[in-house]
Amino acid sequence: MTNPTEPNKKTVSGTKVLSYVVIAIALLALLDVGARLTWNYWPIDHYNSPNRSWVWWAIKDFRGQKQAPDVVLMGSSLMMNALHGGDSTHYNRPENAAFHHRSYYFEELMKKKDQDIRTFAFAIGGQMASDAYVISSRLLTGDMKPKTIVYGIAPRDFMDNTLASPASTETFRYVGRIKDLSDEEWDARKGFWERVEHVLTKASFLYQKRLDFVYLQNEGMKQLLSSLGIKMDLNHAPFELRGIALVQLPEDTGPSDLCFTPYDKKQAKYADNLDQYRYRYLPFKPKVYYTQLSYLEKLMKFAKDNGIEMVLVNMPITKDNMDIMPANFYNIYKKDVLALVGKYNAQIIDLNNQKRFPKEYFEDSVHLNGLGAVNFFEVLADKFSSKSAIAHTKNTNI
Amino acid sequence: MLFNSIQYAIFLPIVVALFWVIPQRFRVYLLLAASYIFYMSWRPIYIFLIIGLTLFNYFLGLAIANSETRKKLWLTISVVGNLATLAFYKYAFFLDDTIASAVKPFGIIFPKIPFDIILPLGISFFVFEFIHYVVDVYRGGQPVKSFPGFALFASFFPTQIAGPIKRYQDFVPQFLAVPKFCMSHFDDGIALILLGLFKKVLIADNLTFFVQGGFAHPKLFTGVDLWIFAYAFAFQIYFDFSGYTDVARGSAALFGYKVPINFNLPYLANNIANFWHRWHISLSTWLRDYLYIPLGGSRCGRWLNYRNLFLTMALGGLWHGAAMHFLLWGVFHGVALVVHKEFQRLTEGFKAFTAFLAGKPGNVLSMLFTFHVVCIGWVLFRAETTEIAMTMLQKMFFFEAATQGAQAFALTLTAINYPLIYPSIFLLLPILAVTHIVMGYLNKTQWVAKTPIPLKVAYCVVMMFLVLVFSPDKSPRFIYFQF
Repeated sequence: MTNPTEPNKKTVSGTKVLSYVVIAIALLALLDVGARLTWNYWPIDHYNSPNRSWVWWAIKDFRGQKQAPDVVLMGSSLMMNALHGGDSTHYNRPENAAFHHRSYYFEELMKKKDQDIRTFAFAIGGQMASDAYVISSRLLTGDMKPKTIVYGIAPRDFMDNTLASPASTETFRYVGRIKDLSDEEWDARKGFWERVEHVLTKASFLYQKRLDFVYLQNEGMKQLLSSLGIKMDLNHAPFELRGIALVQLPEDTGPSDLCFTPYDKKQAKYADNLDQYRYRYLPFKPKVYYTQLSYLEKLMKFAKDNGIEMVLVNMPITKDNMDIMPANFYNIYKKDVLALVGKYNAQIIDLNNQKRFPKEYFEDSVHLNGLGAVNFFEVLADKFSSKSAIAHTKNTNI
Repeated sequence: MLFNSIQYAIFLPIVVALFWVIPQRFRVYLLLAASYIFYMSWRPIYIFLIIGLTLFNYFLGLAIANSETRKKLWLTISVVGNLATLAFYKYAFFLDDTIASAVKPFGIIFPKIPFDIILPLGISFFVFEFIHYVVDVYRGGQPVKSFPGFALFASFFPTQIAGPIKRYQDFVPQFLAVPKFCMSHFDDGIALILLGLFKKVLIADNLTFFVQGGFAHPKLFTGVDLWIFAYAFAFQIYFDFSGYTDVARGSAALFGYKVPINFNLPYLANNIANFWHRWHISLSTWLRDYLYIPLGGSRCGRWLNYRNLFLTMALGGLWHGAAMHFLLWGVFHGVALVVHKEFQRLTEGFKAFTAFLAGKPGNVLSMLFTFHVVCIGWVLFRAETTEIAMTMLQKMFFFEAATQGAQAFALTLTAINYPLIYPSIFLLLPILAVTHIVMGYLNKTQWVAKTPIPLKVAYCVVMMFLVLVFSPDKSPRFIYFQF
């Protein structure tokens, strides 16, 4: 009996030379080239997406605007809370975050100061400086160029450990689908594997356009289900199941997922979200911070080159939140932002003042409640309407 | 490094290309290095564990083979060493919690383990391969003389994390032979990888969305709904694990190696014993050879045989994870196998009845019954806690019908239209069931082997397109990775 575990000279061989896999790869490559050449003729609206993210809702609304807004409000959830909470509390009505992209209260306040302006808000939860830049530089152009960009900034917009790279946000990905970001895409990817995936995306057109195919497949499935008598109504999912869906599809936002209600002192609660912010701030990664700062600079340069007035608003946050920031981080942030404001002759309004915005104005360590939101726009309108009151580099107290 | 990741899509072709260009004498070393790199891509520190266990078992295997008088001692040391390692990483917290709960009523506070233990990937699989090796050498098998060959047997990257659990007699000679590049191995390997990715990414991952809803919130649903969730999980776990196995077998085929099959259309089984001949075959045969038979197998009295079946399945359940619901799942299958044996014994005399079961209608009924028994088991397996499993089973057997009447039989799932997988499930599950039956027929007719080249090309193009386009950016891990 031979020993089955010892080497032998038996060969594993075959004579077949025609590979059906190689033929299939060649055919797929042809399909890829064909799709690339004919893409413009495909009946696809590239603005459509299988995931309805916050940026998707905002851009959908922006595309429906008949004229350029005078003032575009930008920022993360800090600005988003102020926008929705302010209108909701002042007008005593619920505001649906998916559809509400205009600060009516700010417009009303400015009108009282004889300044008739029309706003549009690209305030999107989690927005980084890089997101603000890609939105501005790709969408706020030509006929849709505003007179002013009011950008509400806070330290988190520059230092967030939950972010893998600037290209990893839904805003960057979605804007990259609908506009040409080729000059930004390489630098916006920081990790080795991110860059490898980028190279593969560029090499395969089918892979590059996969979200369009997923959208087509979803629509086809919806039609098939409708034809079978299954009514497609996206509002029917129980809250718990939406929660599960959001874990799997964190970027997806239903049309009624987030509604802001008027401020009610009895109902108002303060949530401790410091653990979340500790994770975002610590450890301080200079590379992340300076990358995001470079996008702020690009944004300010874009505004200056295009004749758009740039107003930075240092958003109010609580002392609790400032206390958990890495040592000296806030001072570095202040110094760097001021340097850019000076360099690009922009304007800055510093509203991070605990006396003016005490803890009662917050629903957690960074987000204003309805009361704080109303106050925020009142102060902003005051500063904004009076050019002399807008703090320039020289006399700012930031 | 997941099979459905860009890392693997780059890693595998590089290793395959190097394998075929370098001289034969270096190939085992190349695969060994690649396998260790693959293992270290998760937690590099655990490379010491796999190398340590490899050395331990290699030398004990030689000691068992060479010793005249101490074979049993060396075998005992080896088996105890392997099981102790597995127990430490996998069951320490479970044992600690169980003991603490047991002694708590007596006022004794059992101390908690004061440090974290992270389960090394694939430990359940390679430990079982080591035990198989030393036991077989003890039983008279030839030990593996080549250390790199032995090390590669346990660490071979396609099967490293979730099997199939290999047998050294079949596997080691393959890489000690001199393989010659063969285009059909390449083609069949790629076709198998594509099939595996399709199963995992397009079917199992989509079903995950659906299954999670039902198992996380059983109170929201009726018994009928929960049966549909159970069916969905049955297909999810099958496509997830058999998809993994296909990628593993396909990857091995690219090197000219054969890895045993793990699944043979399990939901076409017409009884529970037959199910275990078709599901996770490499584990069930391992349990048979290294647990059931050593316990006495079926060559003993009826009740002892039932005890052996029960113990084998209960321990098999616990092998899947250190949690009470896995133990219950194993116990459930142990009881089901005992009931099946008793049923066979009791109906032996009823010729008309056994003839009916052997006929087509009887066979279909048996398959449906077996599938539902398996689904009940899956509820125990998937539910995160025993409490959730019990809530689901109570509803599935309509215990609440007495209080709720017709409402308990309603199908509330149809009211949910988002995410899209919810309404789609009513199309998807019947399609998957039909596919299972069709594949059974095609396998019998050897259709796949006889398929003309243009059809094979079309199959590959469609699969490549689907995997390329519909792979989610963040795919969940393979279910069996956690074991």
